[in-house]
Amino acid sequence: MKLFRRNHHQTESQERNEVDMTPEKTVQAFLTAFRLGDVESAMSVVDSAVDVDVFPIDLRAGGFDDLRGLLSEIVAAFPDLRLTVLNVIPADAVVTVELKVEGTQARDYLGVVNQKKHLDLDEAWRFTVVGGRITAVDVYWCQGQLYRRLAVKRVDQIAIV
Amino acid sequence: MTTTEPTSRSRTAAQVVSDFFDAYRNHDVEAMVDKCTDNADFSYVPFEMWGKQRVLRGDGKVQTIGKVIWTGLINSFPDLFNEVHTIDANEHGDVVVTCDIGGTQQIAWALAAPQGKKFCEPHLFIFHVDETGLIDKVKAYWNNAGINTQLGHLEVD
Amino acid sequence: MSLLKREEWQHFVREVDWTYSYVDDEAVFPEWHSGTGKVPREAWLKWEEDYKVTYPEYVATQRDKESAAYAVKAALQRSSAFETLDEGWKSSTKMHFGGVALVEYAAVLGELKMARFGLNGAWRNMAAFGVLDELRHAQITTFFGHEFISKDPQYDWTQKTFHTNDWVPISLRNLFDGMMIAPNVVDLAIELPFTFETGFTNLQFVALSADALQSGDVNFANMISSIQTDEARHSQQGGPTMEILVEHDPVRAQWVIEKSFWGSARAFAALTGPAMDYYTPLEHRKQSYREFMEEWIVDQYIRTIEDYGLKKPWFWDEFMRGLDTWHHALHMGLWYWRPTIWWRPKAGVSKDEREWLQEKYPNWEKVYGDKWDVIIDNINANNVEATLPETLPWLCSMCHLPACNATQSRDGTWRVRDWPLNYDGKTYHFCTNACRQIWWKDRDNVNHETVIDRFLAGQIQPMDVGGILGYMGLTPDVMGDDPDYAAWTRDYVGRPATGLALTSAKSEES
Repeated sequence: MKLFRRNHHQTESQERNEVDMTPEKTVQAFLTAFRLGDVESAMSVVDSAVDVDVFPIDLRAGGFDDLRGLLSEIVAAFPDLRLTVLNVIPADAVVTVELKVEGTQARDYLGVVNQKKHLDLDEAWRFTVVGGRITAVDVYWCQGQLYRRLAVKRVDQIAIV
Repeated sequence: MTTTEPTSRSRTAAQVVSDFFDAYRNHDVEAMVDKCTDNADFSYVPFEMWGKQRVLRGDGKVQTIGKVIWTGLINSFPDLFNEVHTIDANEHGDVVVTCDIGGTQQIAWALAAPQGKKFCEPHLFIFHVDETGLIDKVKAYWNNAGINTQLGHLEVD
Repeated sequence: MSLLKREEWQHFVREVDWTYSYVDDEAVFPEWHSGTGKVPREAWLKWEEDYKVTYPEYVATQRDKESAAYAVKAALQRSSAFETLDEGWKSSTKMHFGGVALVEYAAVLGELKMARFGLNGAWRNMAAFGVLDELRHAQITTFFGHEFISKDPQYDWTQKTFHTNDWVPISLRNLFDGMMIAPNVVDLAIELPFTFETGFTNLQFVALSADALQSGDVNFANMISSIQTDEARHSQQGGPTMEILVEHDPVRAQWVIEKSFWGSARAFAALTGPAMDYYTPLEHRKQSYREFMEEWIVDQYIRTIEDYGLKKPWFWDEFMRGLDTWHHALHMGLWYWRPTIWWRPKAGVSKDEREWLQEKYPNWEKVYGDKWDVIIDNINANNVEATLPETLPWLCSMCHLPACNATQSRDGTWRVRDWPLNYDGKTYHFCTNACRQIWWKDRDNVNHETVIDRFLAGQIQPMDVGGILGYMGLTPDVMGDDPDYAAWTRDYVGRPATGLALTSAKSEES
């Protein structure tokens, strides 16, 4: 039995939804929208005060706009994006998701010049969900693997190919 | 914020994993391995060594690959440390850990030559602990480029 | 009750694969060690050796071989045969004992790895015999070399060589660790039994055995032959492994064989080349190193790669051109840096010998003659000092041998070239294009420091020739020197000398 603390910002309808929304379902909603390339829908379950760490791009203590920017960049750089959820691990408020991200680079991405390479990257996203909203996200992937797949040779010269 | 009571299974699992990190902090690889089943699966996702025709991945078993990597890391980084930030477990025996791992390089590690530099990098570990209280899966994610940059190894391979 | 016939029981002891209940296949045959790669696991069920051996047969045969080798040794120990041997031949044996005894031991570890991680029961069975073979080779080689320590301390390097930081064993350790200790067993079977033992060991053992008999060293010939008969058996682990690998992953097969061929070719140019073309007395030489390589290595290699449907390696032209240069340059290097080696290198450049070299290698005089002339003139002017090293040669970051290969430029001149590569903020230097290419493709050697790297990093102190020799483990009683300067300089006494060292030395004196 899970108990939720009421968030005074929330409307009555959100409150009703929360009773059915387990943290896992919230994360699934986020991922489904992300998978469809619908960044705004994905962000609709993210708290405006979300705490975002995207370690591979050295983003620490970022916020809502940083996360939206990252999703937008991924969706735009890989129009044929394929997101495969390999594993979902719910543990109370924390939901950890293992993902495979695949796609063909179609424009510059995170400073990497577009060489139309295929990306195939295993990632782990650790969400904290409070009151049906994502309040924290930690994102892990290996930037070395990303560079290798996108044909970058040196970490200090990512735009030179 | 959720306030569910931890089950005894999740408590045990979290404790085993906590003990595992204590052993790792003590550089006691045998004790780390002892907390795992004989057949425990091991996967260090970012671990990839690309030769011309061989890709050596950090995939296999704790007993064969995990032990080798842990021992090698401790050799190359004699002051290797870990700082555990969170441990989240559930009633199925899944345990997710966020931590920093770091150390000072004394010996070559993979393609990085020793320059006496330090690294500290966030890691995410995913464990599964079986019903007998032994770890039967270890999986980890981190950014290798971050480590290599800190060590002064700037080539992707 | 009658005994079962061999064919009725042998499959029980040959095929010992079973299904595991407590662990899975990855736990027993981890990819890092077993290295199946793109080859489906079940493909290894087809692995079959050409001829099968049982343990009783193995023991009986080995016992006979051991008895024969040691009986000859015991008989010859009472004779004065050793004292009559040519110094050049003795140098070849010292080089062989030091260069090979502990490589045989490394091969024990390689065979053990295959005996444990080989992907088929029959393969593991063959490798178990291979372990026993290599153990015997390590023992017999060490024992035969040990006998001569009382007569000549350089023979102590039979066992000592691989425990030192001399540049020759560093180069060999680098090669053989990569071939026997580090690889997974599939690559190992291609590198060691298939490429090295089937190809190169034949050259070393068959040629050396013939040379030993020519030189009157029956004991050595006997030892070598005794070892060679084992190689034929355990080297057959390579063929079946190659067949399966080629079928499922020909690109990997091609790469592994090419890489180990190149490394072996470099090492043989350093060790076998000088022994055949310089140390062996002229009257005993049957073939030049190049001719021998063409007959035993080149032809066989081409046949092999054609048999398996593989391509000629990309480095083939460079390798073939190298047959005319590598070992001559390395010989000159070994002679010049003679205090750093544990044998007495004969220069072997008397007029007759040079005629022979020129006949076998039409560019020899043009590329090497004038350098030897400078050395000869200095020796004849009693200026041996000028022919001794004061610096170190640049060592290749891949093969760890001196980067001393001359190639012909478009204008016809011969120059020693350097193949550099920038990697991770450091410039690496290579002796050949293929060494650079292999280093770059696999990066296996990226953290292996050459003696030069160690010297420049200040690991060798004091930073002079004395410090270097000490670091390499060389003591005055074993440092190499030419055994007979007059033998190859007397032909030139009295001719006008042009050596620069001579001119300056004379003018300073007067």
